[in-house]
Amino acid sequence: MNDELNIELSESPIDALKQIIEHHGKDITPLFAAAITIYAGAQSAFTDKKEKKDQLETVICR
Amino acid sequence: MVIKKITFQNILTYYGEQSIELPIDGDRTLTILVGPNNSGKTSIIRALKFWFYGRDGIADRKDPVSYISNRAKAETPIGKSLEAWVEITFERQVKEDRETKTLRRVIEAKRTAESRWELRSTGLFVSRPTERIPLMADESDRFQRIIESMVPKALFDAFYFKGEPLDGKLLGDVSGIRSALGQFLHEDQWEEAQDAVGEIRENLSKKLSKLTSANSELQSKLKELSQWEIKLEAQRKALSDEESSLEASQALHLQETQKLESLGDEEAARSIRTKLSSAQQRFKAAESQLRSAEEGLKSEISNSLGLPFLVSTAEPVSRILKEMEDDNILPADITDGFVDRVLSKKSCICGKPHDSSSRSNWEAYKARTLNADAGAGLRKLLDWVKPQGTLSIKSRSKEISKNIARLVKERLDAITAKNEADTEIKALQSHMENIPIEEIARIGKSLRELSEQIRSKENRARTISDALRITEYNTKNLKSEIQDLSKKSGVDQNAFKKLTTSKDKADRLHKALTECRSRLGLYFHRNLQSNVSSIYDSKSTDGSKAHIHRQTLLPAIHVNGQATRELGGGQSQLLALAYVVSLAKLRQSMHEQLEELNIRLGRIDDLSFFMDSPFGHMEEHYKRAAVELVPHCARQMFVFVWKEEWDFVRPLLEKKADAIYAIEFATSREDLDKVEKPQRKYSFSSGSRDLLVSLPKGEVYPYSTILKIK
Repeated sequence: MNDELNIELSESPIDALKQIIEHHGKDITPLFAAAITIYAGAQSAFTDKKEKKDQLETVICR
Repeated sequence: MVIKKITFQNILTYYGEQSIELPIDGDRTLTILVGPNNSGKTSIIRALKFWFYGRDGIADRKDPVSYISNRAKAETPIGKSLEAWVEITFERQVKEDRETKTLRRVIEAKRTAESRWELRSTGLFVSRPTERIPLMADESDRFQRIIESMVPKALFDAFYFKGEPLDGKLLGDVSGIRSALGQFLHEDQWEEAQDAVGEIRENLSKKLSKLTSANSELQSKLKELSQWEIKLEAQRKALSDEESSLEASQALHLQETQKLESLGDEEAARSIRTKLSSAQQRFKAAESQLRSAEEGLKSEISNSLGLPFLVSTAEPVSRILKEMEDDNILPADITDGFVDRVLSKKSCICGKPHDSSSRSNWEAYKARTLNADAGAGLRKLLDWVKPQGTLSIKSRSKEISKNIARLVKERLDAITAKNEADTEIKALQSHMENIPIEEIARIGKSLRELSEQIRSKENRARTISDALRITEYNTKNLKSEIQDLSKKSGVDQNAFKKLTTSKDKADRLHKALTECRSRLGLYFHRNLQSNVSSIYDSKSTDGSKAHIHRQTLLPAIHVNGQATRELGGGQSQLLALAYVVSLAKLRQSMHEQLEELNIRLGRIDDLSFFMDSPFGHMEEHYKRAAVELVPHCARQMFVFVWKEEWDFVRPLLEKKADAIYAIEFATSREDLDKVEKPQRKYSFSSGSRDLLVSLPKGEVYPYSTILKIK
């Protein structure tokens, strides 16, 4: 049990991550996906650190 | 990454070019390779490791020339070079597409003398069969990095078991499971993303500050907000650290409790100790009672003068005494002086006057009486033979018999008590041998300390959480104040709103990333523990349980709460298989869930397991359980089996296999004759085949050939 989130966390690792992400607002889930995809995704087209950060800032400020 | 084809030339026992095509269609595939002992099954694993890591993949970094087939070497003239290679065609996800690549790892060596070889080169090449130059060197190690990232070296032995026993590799040598799982998720990149979000948040703060530079009150409020946010961040981090620490203590508490439950509780252990101590005291008391009874008996028998045995003589002794009395043989002490004193008087004791016969009568009487000692003895004897009285032989004998009977009873009671205490002591000691009392006491102490830690951590977390709520409340109010103030201040409202919204999003995203990263390890553990236990615990027949280490994520078998490696029935191999299946499930679940979250990290569920003799050295029960697990438990499952294993698994696996290959091993006539004919024959649905054959005429070096069966 996570006191701060006040939710029973799932046994499945990623289900639990999903719960944590959604706890910070529904709009955070796509933002989170975008951040991880930009940095670690197989489709990531960005190799430069600054390019990645700029892309992420664009997504956050959209 | 999934492997489509493995080809090798002149590698280890394989002569010439040999290849195996692995099915990749569908989510789960099973390929079986059947071969005699020492025919080259493990050589395939060695070849794979060499392909992945080059010289680093060769055990003890031996000379790569040792990987070249002896037969090929023998056929190479002195002064000529020879090439041996391993080539793998694999498929991997690149962006939206699946990419197929073929990479060849080559060893080139020159024969410089009859038995001397010189290594010319080893290297990785990209195969381009349609190009003018069909092999291109991996100059910048680009592909080397790609294949190493697909199968990290630390994890190779978890997926590509080599040699026997299977469990030895998995349970002993595999390290870095946790970091390797993180590597599949590119956890380092998550951290980079988190840092970037932090920087973006700061940039947005600066932009806000710039936007409001004309209004000093708004500036001051924003500055104050920034300080509150720093405080908020620090409190959130402190809470997250405290909660992680609390969870670790709770997990440890649970683990210790489960251990204790399997050992027996502390109270029971204490009770056994008390009982043992009491039985030992009773044993000592009985021993002392026995000694005392035996001493008493000795003394009583010694003092009895054998009277109880003389009781039957009392009657005849009475008669003899009566006779003696009748004969005037009385107990008296008649001395010469006594006779003289009687005769010196006028009359006798009886009152008659003395006459001439008085002296001779007294002399005759004196001669018939006993002396003083004999008299005393006779008096004692007379007392004894009396039917009544405390000194009578009957009373004394009765008393002695009573005392002896009492002492005999005491002795018997002591012996019984001693034997009972001894039996109890032995039983309790044997019980204690099976119950690790010391371990129970240690766990009990550890549990008390952990409970104390948990209580204090809960209190600290509550205190931080309360403070955090206050900070959040103040921050929220301040934000609202800033909003109101911004409206009155003439600041561009659209720009202001956009910046504050973005900053808020960056803040929440940062929080989500921090929390997800800190929880990842815990969920890997939970998932693996739950999956491995559900497979292993239900199959184990000896009460042993699967246990996943919380930090390393390595599996172990616990018996009575203690890790053990001493089980020989096949438990370890079943655990290894359960672990493999669980790793596959974990990666599949991660892949599906990440896809659901729209996070595309590639096919992280793409993985191949190579298992060398997974069913060897197992009891039938465990072998059967292992066979049930193998088919279709991963994208690619490649199982190598030898004769006995094949005979056992064939009815269960042959139909389920997507492909079957066999190794035909050509060996010398002498070695072949050592194996009975039925042992050379392998049965398949398509017919039987001899997989052990004789070397062609003139050949000296044994070699292997791959045959496609299904």
